Amino acid sequence: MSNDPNHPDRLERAMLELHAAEEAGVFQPTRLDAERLLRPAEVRVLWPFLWSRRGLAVAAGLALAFGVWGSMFAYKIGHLRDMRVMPVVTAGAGAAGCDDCNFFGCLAGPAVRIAAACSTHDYDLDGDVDLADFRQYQLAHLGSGRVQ
Amino acid sequence: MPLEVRDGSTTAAVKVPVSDDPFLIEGLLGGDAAALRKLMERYDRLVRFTVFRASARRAAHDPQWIDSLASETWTGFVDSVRRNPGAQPASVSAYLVRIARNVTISALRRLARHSGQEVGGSADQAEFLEAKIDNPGELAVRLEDLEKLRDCLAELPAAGREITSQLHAITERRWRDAAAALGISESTLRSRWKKILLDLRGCLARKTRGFVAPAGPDSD
Repeated sequence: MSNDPNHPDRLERAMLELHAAEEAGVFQPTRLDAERLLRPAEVRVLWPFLWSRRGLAVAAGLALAFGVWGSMFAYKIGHLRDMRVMPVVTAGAGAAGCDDCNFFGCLAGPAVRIAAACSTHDYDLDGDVDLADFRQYQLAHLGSGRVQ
Repeated sequence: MPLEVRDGSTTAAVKVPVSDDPFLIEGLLGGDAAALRKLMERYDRLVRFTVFRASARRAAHDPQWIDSLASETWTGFVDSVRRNPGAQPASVSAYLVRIARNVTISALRRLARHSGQEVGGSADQAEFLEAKIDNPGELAVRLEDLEKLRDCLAELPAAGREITSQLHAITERRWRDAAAALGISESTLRSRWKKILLDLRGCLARKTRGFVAPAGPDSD
């Protein structure tokens, strides 16, 4: 309790509180988008994150990683495809003495019977044309065969 | 410190139309942005005032403080209502005050942790503990009083409003400083101030039936 005339009275104290509240922005409306607030929480949180600096950095990192992985994958696929179609052995192909046949056309794998025309590629004479024969094929053609 | 006393009670019921609150919450649950806007229009000031009362010192230093915590409160309110669609709050105002209060406590704790202070040991925490915001009804009445006072101040003539710009100097009884700032004599300022207080009391009495505002210094 105070009867001191120098002490601000109740109305004056209320005015001071009102002044402080106004200065702090109590009477301003909250800046909030009602439509955005009603979106599902996941969207509401994820969307601003994606547009933030950190979100953009994460997205760029992911895109880069995916690009690198995709390039590597494409290279591998392309390489396999090239291996399958490119090495066509043509006439005068060296040690095997085959004039008109394609090793990769005959490469059928282990224990797979081969046609008579492919027998020239059965280097180890085990009745099939497999990777063991491919090794021999490479050794035979390295430096001397004409590979396109 | 309530400014107004109604029928001996300081916790009178809030005089806002609350009958359609459940209807608005139903609309909110159905994704109706207009319903949410209506609720915000009705209770946003109470939310902001709750944050202010719980952290006036912080609010005075940080211009974004109230806006940020009020946004957090509304987000929490929408999420909470959606999580429990079958259990609507009995009183939306009380529910919002509670959320705003908790959001403010959390923010003050985060601030204390960030600045390396002990939780509960900072000046802000002490301020919060001093602030009596457990009673949403009392808080709403207080806000209503301040809004009326704000309206009355706006009704003052331009000369009176100019004098209120020196409110701090006047309430600290630095009459000479205030008079010098306003370019009038000290005695003129004193008499005009007396008149302003009289006008304000009259205005408040008109706006509120049963308003009690003593003419001189009073007790809390």
